[in-house]
Amino acid sequence: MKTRSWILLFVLLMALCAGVLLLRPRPQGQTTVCIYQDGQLLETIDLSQVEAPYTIPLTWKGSTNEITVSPGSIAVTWADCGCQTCVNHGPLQPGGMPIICLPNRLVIKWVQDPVVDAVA
Amino acid sequence: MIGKLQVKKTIFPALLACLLLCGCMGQVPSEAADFFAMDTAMTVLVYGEDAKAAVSETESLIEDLDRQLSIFNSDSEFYQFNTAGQVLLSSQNKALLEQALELARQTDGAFDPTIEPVVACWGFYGEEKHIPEEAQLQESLSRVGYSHLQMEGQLLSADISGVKLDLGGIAKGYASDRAVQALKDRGVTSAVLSLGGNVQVLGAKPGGKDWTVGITDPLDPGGQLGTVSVRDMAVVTSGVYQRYFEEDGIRYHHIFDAETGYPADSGLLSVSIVCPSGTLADGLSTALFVMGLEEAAQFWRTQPGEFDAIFVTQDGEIYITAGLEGVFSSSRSYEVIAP
Repeated sequence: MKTRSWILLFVLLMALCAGVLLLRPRPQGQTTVCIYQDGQLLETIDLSQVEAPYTIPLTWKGSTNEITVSPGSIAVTWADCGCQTCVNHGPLQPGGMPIICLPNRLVIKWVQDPVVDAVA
Repeated sequence: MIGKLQVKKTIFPALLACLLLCGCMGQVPSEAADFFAMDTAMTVLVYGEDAKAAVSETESLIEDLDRQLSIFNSDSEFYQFNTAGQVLLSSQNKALLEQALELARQTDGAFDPTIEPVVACWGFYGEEKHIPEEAQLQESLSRVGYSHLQMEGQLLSADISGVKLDLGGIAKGYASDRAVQALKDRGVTSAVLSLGGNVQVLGAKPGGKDWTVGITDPLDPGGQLGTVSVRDMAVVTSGVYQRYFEEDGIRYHHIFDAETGYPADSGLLSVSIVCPSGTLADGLSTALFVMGLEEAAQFWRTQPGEFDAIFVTQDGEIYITAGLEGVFSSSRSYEVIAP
């Protein structure tokens, strides 16, 4: 009986550990980016799942940003705003500032930056 | 019977321990909001059971402050001062202006809340930024100077006409201070606010670790040159990469020297300030940028324990004040400014 108890205990512990491992919160979004315009979430993209480059044209109040999504990378590659800050920003980098186009109210950021909690 | 007792004595505590373990590994509830205010993109992230309501209240507070401090909102007292030359200030706005004036005095005008005519002259309030005519610039400059402001009770006026205010140099820092205080009043103990280049953190991260705040590399604004590990602290950067235009290969940025009327050419590319007050950090990041490295380092020595700073020079060299040793980390080499 004592041996059976220990076996039962062992099996239950293993099952619980497996459950904890499967159900525990995982670090999500470290390769996933969100595209917001005027505070509204437009699109979520897991860059690790991108197999071939493509572009997303976004128009807001008559102005356009062209976003290029590549395997592991995202950048604003063209914009008709005056300042071009979003284009000059280059690709979104871990630990770096989100890509922001103030005139077109566009923000591209990591769901969960793998390096920092915020950038100043 | 003995076997059943053993099962109860061994299995149930083990199950309980596992359940507790599962509970400990659960995430603290959090809520985030992304929005535009004060002409910049903002993110607020709050942890705790009350996070959703707290985030909503924070967003509303910042939007209210945007309207209150804007010089383009005809309902704001600062707009009314800029158009009428005088205004009766509310106690709240008077207190903020007094903070701005104290900072202006401390920094000998390196931070000046009356820089508006110069900023307007360069077109930085609109889409058409340009190099102004010299005569136009000198006329604008003649209306700049915090010493022109006069306060009698709640009445704000100026001793010459055409003096205008722009509290944009401390508005975001003031907003983060107010928001953090409101979060504390709600009982929130863990939050991070990112208002453009202004970061302010409340408490520590869930689990007790410090927040990691990246410092933007002014030579590669999409990347960072290092990080600081902080709690209950504001981290604010002013840099040449934030707002600018280029003409004939020369970059004209938005941090103006009230002495010359031109973008400050102090040998620095960026200044990051680390201190508990968002308002102070915001104002000092501008002021120390205008001062340049040597004068800024000397100013820091006269204010022991008040703040710390990270400087990046035009040569790409990094300097940190001594208080950031052990707080700042970077894969690049840097020099420490001694007290």
